[in-house]
Amino acid sequence: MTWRRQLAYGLGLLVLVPAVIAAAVLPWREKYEVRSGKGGREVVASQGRAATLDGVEWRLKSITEGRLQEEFSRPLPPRTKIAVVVVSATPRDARASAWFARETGSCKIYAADGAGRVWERSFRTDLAPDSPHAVSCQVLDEDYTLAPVPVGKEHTIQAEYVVPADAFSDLRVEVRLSPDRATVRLAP
Amino acid sequence: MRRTLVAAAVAAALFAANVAVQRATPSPDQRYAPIASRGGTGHQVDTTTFQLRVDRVQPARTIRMTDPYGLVREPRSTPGIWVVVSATVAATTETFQAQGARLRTRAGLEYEASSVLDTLDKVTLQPGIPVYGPLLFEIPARDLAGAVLSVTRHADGAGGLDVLGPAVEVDLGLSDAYASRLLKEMPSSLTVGQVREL
Repeated sequence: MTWRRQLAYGLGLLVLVPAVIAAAVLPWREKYEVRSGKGGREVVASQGRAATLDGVEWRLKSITEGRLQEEFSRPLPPRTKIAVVVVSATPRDARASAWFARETGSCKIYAADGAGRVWERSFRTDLAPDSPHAVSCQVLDEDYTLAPVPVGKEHTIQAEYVVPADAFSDLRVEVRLSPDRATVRLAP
Repeated sequence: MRRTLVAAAVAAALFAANVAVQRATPSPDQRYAPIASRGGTGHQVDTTTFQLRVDRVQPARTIRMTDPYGLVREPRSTPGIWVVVSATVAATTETFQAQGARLRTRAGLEYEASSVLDTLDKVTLQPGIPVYGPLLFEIPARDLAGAVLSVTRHADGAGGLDVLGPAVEVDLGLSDAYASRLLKEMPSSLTVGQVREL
């Protein structure tokens, strides 16, 4: 076997081995993303700027410290604080307007910190006073049916979190949308 | 002749390698099993998404749960025995539910955690806020020796256990002699405390 032929075999192997490995591994990537809820498209905005995804303009309005509303409330876990997050979503076109009335899919708002920790909202009702903001991305009309948000109208959503005290000053927000598999990251 | 011998030897070696690879290929159970970190009682076991430490293991004939107001409820019995595993669990990166808590016996049987409410496997843990509480299992007394605790996290996206994610396996240190002593000294009723955030 000449050295040229050996070189050809070697180069062939260099191409084939990664190709076989990729063919075996890559189909798992999508499975992993679907199963774990990770991956997909991402848009990022900070310093009060808006992040736009599919015609919806997302903005972090505020992150403030809450306090227990009732004297005899169940105490918070040690060394934790209440974070009250207000996010706005404004549709910029008709398709985005209709997105708020869709019956399937979810829109979950998480608090996160710079270390990559992510907190789900608390469903305790004693963490913040009653607010004029909505509790989810979906909008109900007076008949309690899903309704679109008019183009250009700001829809504000409030969520409360119980987070370790050391994370509070570094909090940011993640809005995870499914089944779109998209994430909106908003930093103060 | 020499080339033929070399070719035969190479063919035999390749065949042997093929057989070895076939035998080393993980079974579907192994391929789909979570990647487990192992440890013993009293030691913190770390995974990429949660940490767990088994603090105590107690068998009992009946248990009495404590409600959120500190009142002790009526005794609960079981056809076998209760195994109360007191553990501290902390989520490290994302919210975590230890809904995949199982007790695996020496014979390979797996017992899911009891459906009794207010136990560690029913709460959602938030990162950085560790929680201490009981995991309850109902097993035949003969299966106590050699039991291993296995905890898998509940997946967010899939609506089931995160079979591709991390898991913890803790050898509860229940040797034949120790398990036998625990069973001999087993209380007729054990009061089980509430889950509490630390």
